Parts: sequence; C-alpha cells; structure tokens
Amino acid sequence: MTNTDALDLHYTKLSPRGEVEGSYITPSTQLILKAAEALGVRWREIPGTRIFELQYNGTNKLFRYQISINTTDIGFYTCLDKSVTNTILKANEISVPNGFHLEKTDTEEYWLEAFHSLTKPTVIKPTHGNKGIGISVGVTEEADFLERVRAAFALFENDSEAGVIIEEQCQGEEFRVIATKGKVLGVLQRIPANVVGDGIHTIQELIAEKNTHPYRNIFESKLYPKIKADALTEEMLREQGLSLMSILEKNYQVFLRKVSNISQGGDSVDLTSQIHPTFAEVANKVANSLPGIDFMGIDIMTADIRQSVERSPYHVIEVNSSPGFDIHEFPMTGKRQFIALEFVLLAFPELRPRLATMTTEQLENLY
Amino acid sequence: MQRKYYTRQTVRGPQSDEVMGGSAILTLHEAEKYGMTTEEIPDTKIFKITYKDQAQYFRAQNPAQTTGIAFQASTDKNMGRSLLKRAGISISEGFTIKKSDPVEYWLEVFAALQKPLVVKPTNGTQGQSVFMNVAEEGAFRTAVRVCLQHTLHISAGAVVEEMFQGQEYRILASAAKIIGVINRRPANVVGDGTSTITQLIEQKNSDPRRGDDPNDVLVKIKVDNHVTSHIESQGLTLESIPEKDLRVFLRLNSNISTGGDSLDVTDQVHPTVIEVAQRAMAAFPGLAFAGIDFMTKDITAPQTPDSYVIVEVNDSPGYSIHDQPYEGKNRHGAYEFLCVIFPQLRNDFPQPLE
Repeated sequence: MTNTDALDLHYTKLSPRGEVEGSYITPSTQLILKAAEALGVRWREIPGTRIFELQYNGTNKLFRYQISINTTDIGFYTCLDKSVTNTILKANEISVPNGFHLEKTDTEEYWLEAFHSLTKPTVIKPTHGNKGIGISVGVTEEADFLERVRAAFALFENDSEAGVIIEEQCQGEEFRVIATKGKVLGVLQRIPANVVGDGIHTIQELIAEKNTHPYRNIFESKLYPKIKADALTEEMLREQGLSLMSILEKNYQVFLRKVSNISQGGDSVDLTSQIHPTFAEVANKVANSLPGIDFMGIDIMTADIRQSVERSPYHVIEVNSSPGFDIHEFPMTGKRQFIALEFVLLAFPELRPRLATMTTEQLENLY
Repeated sequence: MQRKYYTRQTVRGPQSDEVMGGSAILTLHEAEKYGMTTEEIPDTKIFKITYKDQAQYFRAQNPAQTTGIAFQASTDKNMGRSLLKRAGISISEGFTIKKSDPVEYWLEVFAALQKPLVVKPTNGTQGQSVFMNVAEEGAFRTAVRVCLQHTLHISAGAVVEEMFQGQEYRILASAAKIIGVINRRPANVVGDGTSTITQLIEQKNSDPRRGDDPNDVLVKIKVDNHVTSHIESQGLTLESIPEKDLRVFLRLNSNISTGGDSLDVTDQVHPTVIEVAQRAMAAFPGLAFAGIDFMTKDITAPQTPDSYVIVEVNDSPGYSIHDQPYEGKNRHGAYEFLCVIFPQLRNDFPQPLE
C-alpha cells in the first residue's frame, strides 16, 4: 500500500501465499494517514506489522494504531494494565474509583474480603483488554461476583498477566477527553442511539432517514455504524409503550438503546470548547502523571464536565494509549476537532507554524 | 542472593507480591554503587530511578528509552518476524494458525514451509504440547489439532515454524553495543570415573551459586521423570558411573531454570554474529535493550543466510546469566542497562564498579 487519496484502506498481511489484503484500517488510523499527506509527510506501511512509517525532511518516525510516536514501553504498559493506571493516578491525587486488584492465585476468601469492603454496586473488569469486553456492571451479589471474576480471568490467554479489578460503580455520564501533555485536544459525550420525531414519520422511517446521514456512510459505515431496528430496539420501544410503527410528535426524542456505544448506533456531541477549566486541569494532571505517554484518551465519569469539579465530582475510569478519535473529527453535534493533525504534529512539531496561518475553512479542507 | 518481592496493595494493606527476578535485584544493587536512588511504585512493578537529580523509570529489564512499538514488536511474534525479515535477517519462517482458520489454510501453511517443522501452542509454557520434527502431513494435522485444543481461549492458536538445527545462544545487546553472548547448555554432569550420576549431581548442586528457586542465576538439578528417561535413552541409570571427562546430558532443554549451565562465549563469536545482532536491534524501532535468541551451526564461523536464524527478540532480557555465568567473564549487563537509562553514566564511570 502506498500514498493514496482514497479512503477505505486495508492492512497488508503476510500469508503463506505472500502479501495479501488484511483487515480494514480503522477510521482513526486512516485519518492520521490523510493528515500526514495533507502536511506533506510521506507514509508507508511495513507489511505484516501494522506499523506505519512517516517520513518528513529525511526523518522517519513510526506509529501503530493511534499510539503516539513518542509513547514509550513504560507508557504503553501503564495504560495496558488498568490496575497500573489506577495506582499511578491515585498516587497523583486524581480521583479514581475505590477498588482492588485481584489475582488468579488469591484465595476465594480474599476475593470476597475485597468484595465486602466495597460499596455496592460494583464493577468487575479484566486488567487488560478494551471495547468493554468482560466488564460487568451492577454487581451486588456474592455468587454473581465470584462468577463474573472467574469469567474475567478466563479471558486471559496468558496466565502471567491475568488480573481482575473490582471497583465501586461510579455515578454520572461518561465523557471522553483526548489529551496530550499540556493540552486538551477534544472533549466528547456519547449518547445512546435515538431518533427525534417530526409528527409525520414512523420510528422505522426515522431510523432509515437517520441512517442516510453521510457520517453513517463513510469508512464502510465503521465510523458510525447504522442504527439497527432489531429485537433490542423493539424491546426498548415496548418498554416505553411504543413500536417501530409509532409516529412521534415533533421534537420528541426517543432512545433506542440503554448503552451509549457508537457501535450500537449512538451519537456524539463535541464539548471541547465547553469543558470547565477545572476539568481541563484534571486532564492535564492525568497526562503529566503518566510516564512515557504524550497522547491518550481519558474516560471521565461525572454529572457534567461543563461544571466545576467541586459541583460535579468525578472519577477517571480509564486511560487509553491508542484512543479512537474519529468521532471527535466527525461529531454528530458540535465542532470538528483536528486530532489527527495534532497526532502527526507530535511526530513533526516543526510543521506547526504552517497551521498557524490557515483559516478554519482551509483546515476543514486539508484532509 | 537475597530474595526480594514486589509490593501489592491489598484490602488487608501492603503485602509482598511476586518474587523479583534476579536481574531486577542486580539492577537495584548496581544502581546503588553509582549513588542512584530507586523507588518501587507499589502495585505497578515500575521503578523510579534518580541519578544526579534526573528521574527516569524502568520495569523489569525494560528501560524508559524503549518505545511502545518496540514493546509490541517483541511481544507479538508475527510482528517481530516481519521486521526481522524486512531487514534481511534469517528467521525460522512460520505462521500462526487460529481456531477460526479452515483446514485448507493449515495445508497452505504446511506447503509453504520447509520441513521439518515445529508446531506449538501460541500460549504454551515449559514445552507443553510442543511437536518437534514434524515432516508428514498426517503428523502435522495431529499436532495442529492438539495445539488448538490446548486451551479454550478464543484467540489461542498453533505456531508453525521451520525447525533449525543448531546451537542456541542468547545475545544481550543495547542499541549501542553487543554486551555479551551466552550459550545455554542443558543440565549435565561430567564423569570422574568413580562417582555415580546421582553423586555427580549432588556434587554439582553443592556449588553455592546454585539455588532452589527457578529464578536464581544457576539452579540445582532436580531428578525427575524427564531426567531419568533422558539418561535411560542413553542406556544409563542414576547409578551408572560415567568415565572420566565424559559429559552426560540429563535433559533435552537448555533452560537455566531446570539446572542448565550458562557459558559466556562472548570472546569466541565471529564478528559476523555481532553484525547480524546489530542489524536485528536496528530492525526493531525504538528497542533500547534486548536479548536476542540466536541459533547457529557454528558461532565461531562467518555467518551466512543458511547458517543461523534469529528465533526471538526479547525486550526485557534477564542479564544475571551474563553477569554471573557458570563459566566465563562478568559482562556487566546491569551497568550497561543503567547506561541505557542514563547515558551520562558512561562518561562519569567509564568502567563498571566492582
């Protein structure tokens, strides 16, 4: 694969038959490649590794997924193991959920001791892993707790890194902050899949209409997967006394899912310009506390990130060293944040002055 | 060596966690010699290390300078293989077969590789379900099937690799230099013409350097089923009296943890080995410190593409075997590790302190 204007790129995989087309490159990674091109940075893939080489002015820098060029082994490891992340944040006086790290070699008695010492409900999650795999929320019963812990341990391929976290479940909304050391690049809230009535169309029609949104049709619909009118949706509607055939009043919003995942048809709202300075400070503190990482996604649970931390107490629940940021570049509501550009600038800071002279419109058209 | 443990925060308060590796302990001792302070961040296995008011971090034998990409490349075997191949380095060609791959793919892999093959589970430990010398399709299918059944884990699979015949070496390197080369020799005894194998094992185990813990720099030889069956295969028993100077191997595997010997051969390696090792280091972007598993037919001869393979590049190499070998010189891996973390250390102390 070489430089190209087209989206929808795939990795090159090494197979017994030689180089073949591999998995789809996620939209966030593709955006980095496009931003690089826009800045006159050449790129190429190292086949079979998912590593990309960026080249500018005779200097080569490598990145993989959305892991910054400058992320070190320690930085990567710190975010890979959520228990390590928590420990370091806590030591730096950042609010994290109360909890403990369980090991496979612990006695069941110890697991229960940890469970009973915490306020219910609790959350159980594997120390490694992403996309919410193996995470159980709302765990209050002893038997259920033990079962969930065992299930989480079973997810590990390698026993030596197997660990499970039990922590108190925090209240509030989840906000995703993309940060570098010293700067908040984007703030976003995800909201569950929903439609808004117009007094004319059925819910089914509103879903179909919403699915024609351009953002739901680029990157092979992997950026914003389409909303599904499936059994789960029907059940959710039934709970609200509605069906797919119901016609909603004008401006009446109906939620189709309980979870806010984008993969489940959720929407996104950019709040970058509205983050309260005290929350920007929290993000900076997180960024400065973690050694060896200069680009990250910080998941914060709080009532409202636009309020001060005094009025809206918070918990940092996770830090991701390879954050997806495509939805920050294409928010359903709010302003586009040029995260991919910032990512490339972390590799080649000397290119920043070129951006200073550009208008927003020029930026919009850059990639 | 005095044992040390990592610290863990538990619901009952701070407690001892896993035992620290021998090399990690060497690092802490070595750092002290140069007036560095080290501080464990409890529950993380990360150390903060300070030298002349400059703070850095390390964990196990990973220095702060190694990048996230290098870490991924050395933990993902396929990625490492692609990088080495791209740099023109000989490797054991191979592929991973996943549970979801159809049998046609298995056969494609079989056809693409030079026999004989080694087939092993992706998450195997200590030689469990490792099939050596696989040359026939029937045996290959069985081996893959067993490996795929090895675990219930969804992403588990079978690694299929070309088998290379040769001696196994561990090369310790930083981005700047090749530090030491060790040959691991399987557990063995040398006859004196009068003692039985049992007595020779006892004599060898009385060496104060040999400990009971598998993490020790040299480990006592334990007589188990593997040992008895290995000597039986040579027509011997534990009561046999080997001739003077005859070396009897007690195991097939060369792990130090099961009583193997570490032999420092740094001064015997051919310059082309050093050159290959340096190219391997450069092939891994941002790898500041590593252990290279190198197999060759003859380490003293000029290397050609067919004479050697690099099996693996490890981003967190134990160096106690280089610093305290069974035979040979101390190669000061601990000092070299600290020089990676603080490059000015080499200016301040051009020679490691004893």
